[in-house]
Amino acid sequence: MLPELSALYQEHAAAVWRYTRSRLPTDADAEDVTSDVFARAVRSTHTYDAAKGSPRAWLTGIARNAIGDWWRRRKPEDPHHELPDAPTADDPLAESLRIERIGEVRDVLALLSEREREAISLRFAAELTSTEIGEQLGISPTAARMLVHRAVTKLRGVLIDG
Amino acid sequence: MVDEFDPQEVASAERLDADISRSLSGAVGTDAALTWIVAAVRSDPPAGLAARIAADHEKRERARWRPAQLVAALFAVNLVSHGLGNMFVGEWVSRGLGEHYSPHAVREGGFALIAAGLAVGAGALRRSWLPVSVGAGVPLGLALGIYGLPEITRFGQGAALHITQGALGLALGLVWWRAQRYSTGPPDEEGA
Repeated sequence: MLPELSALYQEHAAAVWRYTRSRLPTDADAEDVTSDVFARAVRSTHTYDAAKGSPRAWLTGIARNAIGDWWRRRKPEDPHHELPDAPTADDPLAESLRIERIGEVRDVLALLSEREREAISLRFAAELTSTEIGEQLGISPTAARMLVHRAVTKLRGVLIDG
Repeated sequence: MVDEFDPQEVASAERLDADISRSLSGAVGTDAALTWIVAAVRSDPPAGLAARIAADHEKRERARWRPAQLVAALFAVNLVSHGLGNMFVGEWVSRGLGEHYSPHAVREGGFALIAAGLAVGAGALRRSWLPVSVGAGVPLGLALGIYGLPEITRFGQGAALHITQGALGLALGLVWWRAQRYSTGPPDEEGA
């Protein structure tokens, strides 16, 4: 791996992975897109401007574009993407539980609007600040905080009501 | 941008934001919903993802540099053939051009062309050597192409050879420039 790619991966792989995984149906899709994100990042390192934000926010911006492209390319009739992941880990029980939990999370997040889901993913999975979320979504930091707050309030209602 | 929100709700959102930051940094909180969301999204990347990304990167790099390596290989074959031609059929070439045959100069020119061909071909073997191919091949190809143009009316085979060399020199420069536009540095991977 190139040194710059290796350094980017070491530092930001978890955040990029969690963000893509939270926005895509399966692990395999998230792996494809995460790989694409790092490929795009390496190609465009010259466009990164530290004055405009953190590397994580920059990578998340790339991930948002890659995810948008993925959804645009996706064929609605493609049955592969409707199937849940099959357990593949060494510990099939743990893997099954993990997949089940991902399904549960997806069901709960489906109750949110698209913008609220995006805000939740950006805050919890990509771990961006309100200012960074605001920049990604084209809103103020306060509006970003309010968006996350309203989404969490909705989720809290669902989780507490069962 | 002017936001008009209920100040109480804004204050509540700011407290929640601070709680989220604490939860994300690993602090154990009492908010069950936050704990649930944080736990739900915090899956680790699959173990093989780093290797997969490295392999994908290598595959893309190979595809990116392949056209330049292919043109370098073709140009190398052309130059080495030209050099061998000078050494073994130099007299026929001189006759075709209507020039006096000078075996010593023609053979030495042949050695130089073979050496240039090997330099141009280096990049076909290793991507990291492509700058050598470009540095040697582009000026030589263009010079030979321009130099050979007058042969069109005198010696068809010679003109065809020189025009091909000019085209290959130009193509090598263009495909290399196109490939390196997106590069973060000199091509440095092993092998072709």
